[in-house]
Amino acid sequence: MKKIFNSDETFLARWLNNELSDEELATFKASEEYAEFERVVSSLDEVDTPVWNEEGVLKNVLSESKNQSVPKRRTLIRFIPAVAAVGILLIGALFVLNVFNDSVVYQTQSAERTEVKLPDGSIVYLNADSRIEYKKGSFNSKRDLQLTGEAFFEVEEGKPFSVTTSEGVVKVLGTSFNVFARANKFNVECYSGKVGVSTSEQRTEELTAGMSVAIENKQVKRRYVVGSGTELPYWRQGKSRFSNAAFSDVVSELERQFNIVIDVPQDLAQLEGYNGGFDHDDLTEALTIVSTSINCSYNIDGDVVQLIKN
Amino acid sequence: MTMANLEDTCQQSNFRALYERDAKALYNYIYYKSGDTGFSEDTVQEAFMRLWKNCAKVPISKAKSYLFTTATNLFLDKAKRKKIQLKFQESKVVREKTIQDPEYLMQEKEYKEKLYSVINSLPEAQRTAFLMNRIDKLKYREIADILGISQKAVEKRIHAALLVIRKEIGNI
Repeated sequence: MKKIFNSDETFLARWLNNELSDEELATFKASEEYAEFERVVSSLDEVDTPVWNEEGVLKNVLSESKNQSVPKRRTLIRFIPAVAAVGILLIGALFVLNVFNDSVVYQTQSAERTEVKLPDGSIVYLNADSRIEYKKGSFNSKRDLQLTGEAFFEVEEGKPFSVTTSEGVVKVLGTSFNVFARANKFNVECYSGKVGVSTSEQRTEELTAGMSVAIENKQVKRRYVVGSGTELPYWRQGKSRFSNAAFSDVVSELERQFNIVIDVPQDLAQLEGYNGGFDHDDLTEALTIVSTSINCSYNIDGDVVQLIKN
Repeated sequence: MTMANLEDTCQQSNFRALYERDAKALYNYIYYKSGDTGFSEDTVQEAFMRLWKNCAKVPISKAKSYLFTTATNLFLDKAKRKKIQLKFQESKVVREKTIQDPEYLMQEKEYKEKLYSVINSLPEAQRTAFLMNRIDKLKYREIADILGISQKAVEKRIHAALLVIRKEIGNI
């Protein structure tokens, strides 16, 4: 059978615009390809282009004097909306200064995030239940800090900057990157510049912007590309996303982000291959999404949540 | 305030309204062409800066075409010939749908990945026209004006884009 969409070179455009005659439409709908065209179009109805700093750009334009022609470089201002979103939650992190060994420690609790400016001007964004420590006296000459948990770094250019975790070390010059270091997992995502990642069993691996590596038990488990057109990790955008993850990782992240304890039915604790995520601003919504996706309902009792199989 | 003010691009309230109306579509237009978020943002900024600087010479009615022409030129000046990697994100609507079983989500995800990679490999002219219509919901007439081609040519590009996408995806 001759297909009209192969011979009429504006047919599909007219279909999209609802301009086909009833007869044309009926024939088209009867064709076996119709459902496939329909799926392409409906899938695209569900996507959007990357979020960008619309307000910041306008501000830059308007603040520019009419005599100057040099465009202002995009600056940290692009991070501000994301920071503001989390901002409300920036409850003071525990700050401990130990006078004897000159160590500075910042520690966040569950459901707490914070932002730390280091002596060299670099900024660390600490996710929930995370900790950094550095030596105050020597930091400017040797930029070295210890991390447990997860943090996003914006490093000022200068001397080598290193982040030491129990699973490995990240070394950089000036760049932005995210480090996740919990239990035996060590994930590093590079958002700009270059970073070097090494573990005691793996020599230095160099990551450039957009590249990431997931390490488990000191072995590279997979490499992946970061982001969905953004220049910030998901947690800095106030959400968590998982792709092919262990369900137990999803549960741990929910517990950290909302300061709750989740009781998981035995047989679900081993579930693998989880895809999806949740936002950090609404506990019930997050629980609904996660529990429904594994065919469960939930029950909240104080800060304990019980997942119940349907 | 006189009537003439409505046409005055130099009036900040007019300029802001213009920005609100056109900035997103302009950003997306450059994004479809370049696949580069940073470059797209810089281009929007530069185009609006030039408009702001020349506001006395460009009335509101000509502003949109001024912006798209400027952005197109900036793209042509700087365009690096490289393989583009458009990234999309799920719009708000999808959130409701995330309540699905993981298996369905996986298939959906694979389908979308394939869809995006086919879109990335489309010729730039087809891809840009197609996405301006499908994502920004611009009318064929508006796209024709922006691209400086006939409406018929726009329809052909969109038709061709969809035809190729269906065919390529059908191969999985």
